[in-house]
Amino acid sequence: MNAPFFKFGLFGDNVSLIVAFLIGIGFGFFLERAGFGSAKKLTAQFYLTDLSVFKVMFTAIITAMLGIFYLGWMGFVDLSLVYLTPTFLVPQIVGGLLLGAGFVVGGYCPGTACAALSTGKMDALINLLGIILGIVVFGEFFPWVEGFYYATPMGQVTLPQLLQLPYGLVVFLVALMAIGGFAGATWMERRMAVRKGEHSS
Amino acid sequence: MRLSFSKLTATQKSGLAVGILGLVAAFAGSPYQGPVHTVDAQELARVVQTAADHVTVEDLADWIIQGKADYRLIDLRTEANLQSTIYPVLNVSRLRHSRTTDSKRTRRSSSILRAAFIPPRPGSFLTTQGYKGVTMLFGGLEAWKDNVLFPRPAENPTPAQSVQFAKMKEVSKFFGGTPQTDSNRCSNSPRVHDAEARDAAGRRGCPQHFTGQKEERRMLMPTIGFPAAMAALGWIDDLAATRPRRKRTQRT
Repeated sequence: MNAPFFKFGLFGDNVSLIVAFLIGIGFGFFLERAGFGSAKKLTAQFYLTDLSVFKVMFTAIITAMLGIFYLGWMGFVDLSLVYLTPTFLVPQIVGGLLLGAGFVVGGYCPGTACAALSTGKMDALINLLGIILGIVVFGEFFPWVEGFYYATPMGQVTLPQLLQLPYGLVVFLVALMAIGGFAGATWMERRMAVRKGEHSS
Repeated sequence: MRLSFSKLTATQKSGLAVGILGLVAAFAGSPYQGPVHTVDAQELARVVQTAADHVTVEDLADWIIQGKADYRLIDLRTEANLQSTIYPVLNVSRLRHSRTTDSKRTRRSSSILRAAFIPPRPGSFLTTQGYKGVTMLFGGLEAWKDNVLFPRPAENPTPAQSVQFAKMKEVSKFFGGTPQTDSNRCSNSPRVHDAEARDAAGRRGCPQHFTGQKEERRMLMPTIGFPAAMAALGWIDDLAATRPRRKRTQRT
């Protein structure tokens, strides 16, 4: 049995929707259990007092990266069939900045807003309504921004291709980055906690 | 200070595991070239049915004349067969060379044309190697010769066919071919089998491959092409080792 299951015809379009639904529920459950249903906790990362978001997301990335790498290496996953989102460098940098600004101001990203809404948070509902409104406005004004939307295309590029480095070496470097990031985040949290204690005393 | 694994926290153990797995990955090689290559049979069937992975010889000729640069032509034939220049204005790449030098990005963006029919579908093998946009030449070299190098008019041409033939005559000249006429036809069908017919074709000024050598080449292609494809994919280290060798006879 080889993956991606959908690409190899293990299930069709209808079942894929059910699978996506179940994966979504699992994703939302773990987001909520990680405390990401709280805007306070989420925005704390921007003040460097609680870097749980960074740690959880980086853990997910590392787990997926190592899993995909070794499953591909063993021949269980055909990586050439895994869809890669095309890169449009400048628009995606601008989009990332916009998302980050919205994250700081609103307290949620789209996924965590859904997780928070499931626990009955009113601010999450307002945030989601804003997201939907933004999507509608963007759709209506798309012809005006289409040129920028497709600017600086790089195709379906991965880091090993971009850096011209062996795939495994990039995996190792990202793993090192994660370890360093975790150590740095923990050090930063402790430092901010000390500073906070000094201020409160 | 002596470090004890049991004294490490869960986070530290996880970090250690990540570091070890990352280090092993650095020496494991590419996950795109694992020990198992899979072919998406459903996708392959769809592609075969719709012929979406093919380009006609007329389209290829247009690409070359227009100077399109967003594709590469890769020939799976052996060096010996490449000597017979089929693409006079092309820089034909060899797949073996391109495999060793291509980055993954190049593989994904390259269009690769197969020059001759070589079972079993080398395009599928190229896809498993990470190449994207693999396209095959519809009809292979035979179609290239018949329709581009040596085109001939239809029996009772319609105006549209006449216009098309006039265009193909110019295309043929561009590639150094000879447009055929009814009175001076070097037809592939019926095939030239006997010596008398070969001589007659030669007297009419037909190209060499219409005078009998073609049959030999057609017989050879599948047998020499498949090892070439295997070698190109790295499954055979030495292509020469797969070729049949003449038995040496001892002189007495």
